[in-house]
Amino acid sequence: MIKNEDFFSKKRKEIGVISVLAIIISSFGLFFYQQNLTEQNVKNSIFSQYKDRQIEATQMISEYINSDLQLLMSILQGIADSSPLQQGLFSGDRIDKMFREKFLQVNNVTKVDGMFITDKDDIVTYEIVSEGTKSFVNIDLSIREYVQEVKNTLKPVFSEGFKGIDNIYRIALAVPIVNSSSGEYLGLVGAKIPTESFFSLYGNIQDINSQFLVVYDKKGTLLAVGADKSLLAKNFFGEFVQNFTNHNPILMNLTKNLLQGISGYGIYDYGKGERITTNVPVFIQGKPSYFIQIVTPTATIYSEISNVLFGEKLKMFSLIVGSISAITILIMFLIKWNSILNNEVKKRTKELRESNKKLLLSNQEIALANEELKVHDKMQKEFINIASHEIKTPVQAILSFSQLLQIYPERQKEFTQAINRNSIRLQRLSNDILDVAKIESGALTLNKELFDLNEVVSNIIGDYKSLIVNDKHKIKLHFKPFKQSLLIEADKERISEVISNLLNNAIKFTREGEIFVSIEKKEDDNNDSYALVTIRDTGEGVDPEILPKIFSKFITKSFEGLGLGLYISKNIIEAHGGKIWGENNSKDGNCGAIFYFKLPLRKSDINNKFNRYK
Amino acid sequence: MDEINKILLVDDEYDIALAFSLGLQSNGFSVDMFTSPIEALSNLKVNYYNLALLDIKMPEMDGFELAQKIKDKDEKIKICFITAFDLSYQRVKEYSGCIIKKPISIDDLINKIKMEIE
Repeated sequence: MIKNEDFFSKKRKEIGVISVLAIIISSFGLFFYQQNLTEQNVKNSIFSQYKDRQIEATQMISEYINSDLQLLMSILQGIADSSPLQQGLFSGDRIDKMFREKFLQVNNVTKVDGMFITDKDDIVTYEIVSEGTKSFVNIDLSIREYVQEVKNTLKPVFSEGFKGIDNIYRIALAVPIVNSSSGEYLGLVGAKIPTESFFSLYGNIQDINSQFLVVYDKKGTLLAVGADKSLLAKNFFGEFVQNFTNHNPILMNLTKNLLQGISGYGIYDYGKGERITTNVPVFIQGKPSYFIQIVTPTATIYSEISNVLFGEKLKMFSLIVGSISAITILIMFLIKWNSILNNEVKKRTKELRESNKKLLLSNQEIALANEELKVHDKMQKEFINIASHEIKTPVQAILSFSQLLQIYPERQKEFTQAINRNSIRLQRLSNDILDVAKIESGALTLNKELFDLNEVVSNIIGDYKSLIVNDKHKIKLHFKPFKQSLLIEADKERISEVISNLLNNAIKFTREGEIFVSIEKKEDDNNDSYALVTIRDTGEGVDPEILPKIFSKFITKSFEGLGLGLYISKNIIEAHGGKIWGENNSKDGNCGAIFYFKLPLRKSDINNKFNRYK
Repeated sequence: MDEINKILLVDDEYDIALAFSLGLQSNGFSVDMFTSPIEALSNLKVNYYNLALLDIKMPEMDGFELAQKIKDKDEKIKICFITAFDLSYQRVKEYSGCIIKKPISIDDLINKIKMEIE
């Protein structure tokens, strides 16, 4: 039962631990699943936001470029409309002075490395350049497309890219000088803009690994490009760039659209990592003049997203760990509580069981006591029955003989003796019955006095010897006292009664033979000394069947007694703290019986005052 | 009463047996008295006694057993038990025949026996 309980408690614990683990695992599983869904959503959302921002940023850059170029154009327009140029003054100190002033002003706005004037025949009449830049006065610029365009349209022109003699790739802005009254073309004012330094003001054109700027002219020639320096001045649709971009169709499509003035974005990978590219054309005076792309390796976006997500994850994870810890503690607490309750129940059950057992035991005890009571009651009834029978017998004799005295007066002596005999018997009986009543009610009192056991036994033996002489029995009575006096503190009369009883029995069952009485002094295991009285006869011995219960009531019966003598003797000896017992001299009981009793001696006994028996 | 009534008396108590015997004789009964059931059986005169007066509690065999053995030999004999046992004593209680309780005076005893014989 108890093994079973242990087994179940173990099982319960296992189930508890397993459920905690299951809760933790499923929580984490759910968490990660949710996390993944959320992450994907967040990623998508952040990416989309990023894309939108990039589109906005691209538009802003486009507007900045537009506005800076517009400003530059208006400055050039101002120069073209100035009176010296209107009057045909295309060089000289005055012009130089004005240009120096304007050159400074322009370079405050943007990067321009040269400003010049050409006449109506496209010959450079004046040029101011930044330090270290070559001046090309008197050079014929008629071969430049933009010069021809200005001349033909009489409108400002933003040129495509071109490479100068100094190998620097540039664009030019040219504004016609038109006579305000005649409308005649006088020449143009131009500004040369080195594309790399110019566009680097608006975005990264150096590092391919972070967001970078790409600028095209109308023909798709790369004016500025962060991807690779070698791509500069190359046409996007040319072999070189296409090889570089692995002929990526998405990029190709994007760029084509861009060059047609369409904004947009695209995500692609031409072998150098995924990128997102946003396209916006730069409109100047309503016309798409340059085209910009902002390219971002998505890895940089994702790493940013990851950083954001990591922070979120960490927060969420802490929350879950916290919750799980709290749940675990709660479950542990519940398990512990459960086990405490279990123990309490076990304890109570055990107590209940024990108290049941006790109850059962006490019930059994009661039943036993009841049984004993019944037996005792039966014995008591039996005792009364036998006692009354035994009393009535001498009464009958006395009654009858006293009547017969009148009928047979001549036999008076005989009848009187019979009456006397039965009266004595009656007296003994009543004494014995009274003694038994005293013993059984616990009212047996001892009148203790100090006396010499040797002396008392010796006197009794003396009396019996003189009795035996007159008796029909042929019995020799021997007495061997202890060599010294043996003082005991006891009820002298009661002890004498015991000795007489034992002697009577011995004489009765011996008839012919010898009786030996001896007194010895002995020590028990606790070194306490005691007197041992032995009465041995050579009679028929005790029936082996009766021997074990010889000290019970009514086991033996004789004319002289009711079979109570040994029972009373036993109680007397035991009341003195002694012991009485009997045995047959040999197994078949033919060599007489031996009865012993022992009585404790006073500890301070050993006084040698009486040495009579030495 | 022409014929002398003959009584067989068995009681292990000598004094009792003697007293009853003398008492009965003084009233004209002829009594054979025994203190041992075995002796009584071995000396039993068959078809001789009118009545057997038997003690119940005796050594060797009790009165009931003795009565049975006497009846086996002498069917006609009347039996009276005379006992110092109380009538509540189980075996006495179970017996429905003649039972005389001790102690009893000689006159009462004679009357009871006469009633039983007639």
